[in-house]
Amino acid sequence: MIHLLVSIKQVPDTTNIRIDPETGSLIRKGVPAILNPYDAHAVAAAAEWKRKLGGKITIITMGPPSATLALQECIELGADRGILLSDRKFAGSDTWATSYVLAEAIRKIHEEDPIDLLFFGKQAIDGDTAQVGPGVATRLEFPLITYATNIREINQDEGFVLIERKTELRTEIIRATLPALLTCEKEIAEIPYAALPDLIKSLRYETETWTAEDPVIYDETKIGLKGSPTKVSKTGTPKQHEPGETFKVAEIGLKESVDTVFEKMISNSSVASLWE
Amino acid sequence: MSNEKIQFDVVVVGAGLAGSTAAAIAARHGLDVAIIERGRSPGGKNFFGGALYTHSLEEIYPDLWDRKPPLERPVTETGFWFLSKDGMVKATVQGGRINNEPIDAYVALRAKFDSWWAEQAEEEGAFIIPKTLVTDFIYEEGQVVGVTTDRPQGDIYAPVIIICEGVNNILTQKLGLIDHDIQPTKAALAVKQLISLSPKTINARLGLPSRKHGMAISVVGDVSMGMPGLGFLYTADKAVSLGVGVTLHALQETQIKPYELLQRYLEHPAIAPIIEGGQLMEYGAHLIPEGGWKEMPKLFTGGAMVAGDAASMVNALHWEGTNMAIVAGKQAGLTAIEAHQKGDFSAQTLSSYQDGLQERFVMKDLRQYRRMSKFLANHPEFMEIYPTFLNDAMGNFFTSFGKPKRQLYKEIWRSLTSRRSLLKVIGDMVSFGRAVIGI
Amino acid sequence: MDKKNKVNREDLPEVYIDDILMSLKYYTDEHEFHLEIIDPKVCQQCVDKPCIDFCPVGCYRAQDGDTVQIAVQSCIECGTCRILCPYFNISWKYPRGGFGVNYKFG
Repeated sequence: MIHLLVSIKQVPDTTNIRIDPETGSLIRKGVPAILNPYDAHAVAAAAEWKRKLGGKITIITMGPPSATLALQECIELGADRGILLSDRKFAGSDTWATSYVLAEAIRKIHEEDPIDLLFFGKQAIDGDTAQVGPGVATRLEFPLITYATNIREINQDEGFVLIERKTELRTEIIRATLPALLTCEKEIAEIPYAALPDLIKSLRYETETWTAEDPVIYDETKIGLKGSPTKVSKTGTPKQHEPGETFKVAEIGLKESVDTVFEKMISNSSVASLWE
Repeated sequence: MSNEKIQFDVVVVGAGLAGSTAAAIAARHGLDVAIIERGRSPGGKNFFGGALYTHSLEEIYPDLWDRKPPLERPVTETGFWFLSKDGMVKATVQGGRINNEPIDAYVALRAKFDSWWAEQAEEEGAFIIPKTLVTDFIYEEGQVVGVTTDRPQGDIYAPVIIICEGVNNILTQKLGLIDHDIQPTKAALAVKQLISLSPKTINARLGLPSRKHGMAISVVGDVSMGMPGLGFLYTADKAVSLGVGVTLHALQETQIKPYELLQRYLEHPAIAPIIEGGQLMEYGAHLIPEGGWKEMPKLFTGGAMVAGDAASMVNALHWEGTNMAIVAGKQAGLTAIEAHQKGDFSAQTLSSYQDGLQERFVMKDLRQYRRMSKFLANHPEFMEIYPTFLNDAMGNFFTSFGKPKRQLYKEIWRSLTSRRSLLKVIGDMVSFGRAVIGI
Repeated sequence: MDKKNKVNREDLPEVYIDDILMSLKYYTDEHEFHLEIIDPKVCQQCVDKPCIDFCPVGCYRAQDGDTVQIAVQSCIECGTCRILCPYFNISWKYPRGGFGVNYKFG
């Protein structure tokens, strides 16, 4: 029996965000919240290994009460238990404070029911920092393997994992002692089409909510805005580029459009150098 | 994983208006009801013009207004716009009865509304299973006892299945309730753009006094290029819906692209100024069953009933379908309760669904208008000649050009008779009348 | 008489449908296609190829002159092609649960 933990985040569906044509800023209103796609693949990977080895999957997330929906989606994908860390005092946490909150909660779970392997998504699609997974691993002093693309082996008897990770130049195979923490690329596993009993279980699942006092008592100076050293001094929208030239396929035909664009690319010196 | 049989008292296929209504009624009486919806959530696949009729909504939830339904503007002006190639004659009604509370109809956006309507059913106790496609039925001794879905271990059992699958009634066909697929002459394809505009702009351009006023307009004439079909315009709060529907048969005959027909409508000189500067929020298309009474499947069999678009419950002339779906859903829900009370789910028990509908406007109206779709298909002049004539006539009547009035009337008369003989005009009127009155 | 002459096609504006489809939200099923051409040879022999015109999202496109390709990911599941394909040569079913078009307004 193995105990796998996946840390997830509910994020706005950035593929659904539109830009206000007048102000140039993002319209976040009415954008649906989804399970961070990398996290979904991490849950799918955990579910695959649960099927192979037997055991259970615990999901943890920090967020508003509506993040329950993301936890339910994980149950649908094969998880067994979902814990929502939700408290006003957590609000405004940056990646530093968030990794403290998650690490302490995971420490608590680990004490009661030792965890063998921890999964995080590579990064969240809203902040794109990729800092929380490494932050948690550091605090818990677990081996960290980022950008994992494949789990070759989980060996509980000898206490190690063999993980493939992607770097810009090559694929590395890393052996790490358990418990270890992975941050996952989408290749780690395909998202399955859930069986109906799992879907129904997820729809009926009621999340456990943990607060800043119960069952873990947090140091209030280390959470929320107070515990967040990151200061956002200014936000802005990048200047919009001048629109490029438009070639309407409907007007000039496909071949003509492609030829024209191709010629433009070649005549542009920076592109031309790539062709050589 | 458990191998327990998934069992409910009632399974409803499809969380549209008919489905969520049927489920709400059955769940309200304490039955264990599941709604199986193929979309990510209720409403995600649903699409219409359009406006909803408050009488049908209030029939299901008498406290409708306390529940804060996500409706757009009330319809305070409604009627026809007749388009010629470059002009328009408006025949609309506003004020008076139309403005009396409660307002008869409200513009709605179905993705928003249907998801809310399904939530109301959930509050009554129905259980929604989204993201799941019902693929077939499970039979025992010739009686339907459940459905199969496209998910692993996906069988769901219930002694009563209420099929509200929508216009593409594949399951209704599988069940043998109708022996053929939709015919091209018996369905229309409607395409629509939802275009965002500020409420102020909408009010100014359409002459509406405030955001508490809205329009539901059927557009006849040049919009359908002579094909049997109609255009429409509805005002949401911060957007307008403009669309056009033509029969599949006409699409087949003319080989025009539906979205080009829509674009042509949007570029019409009388329409373009209304939407100028607006942003496209959403495009979409949907079939409308227009066969009415004559294309209705058998409405029940042992263990199953069918309601809404799947049962061809649309009055094509009056653009009514949602209200029929809701009333039929209610009736199916009541029949499911009756069957559970009797402990008998045979066709004979479920026949009280159809008996109940006979008493309501659903069947009466559908029967009355049974000739309408054939009439419109056979009388393209209603789509082209008369609207153009009307524009010519009004244009002539209200301009002088220094002509004597007698000559003017002659010209108006000639502009009709040159297009269609007087005898034919009279014939058209008679058959139109017959199609409406239903004799 | 050629059917197509029943309406004045000159009158129709040219529309680039892909621009309009940007307004729609889809959940694309990468693993299963819900529309398929049953026998490509039938399409080759189909002279009019009406699917290229009647589909309201332009799913059907002519390929190399005489074959037809389906852009399944644009489908809004209306059912027109199932009914109007003159040779009933389209295998039509709904996408798997949760996939396909997802109207935000409807």
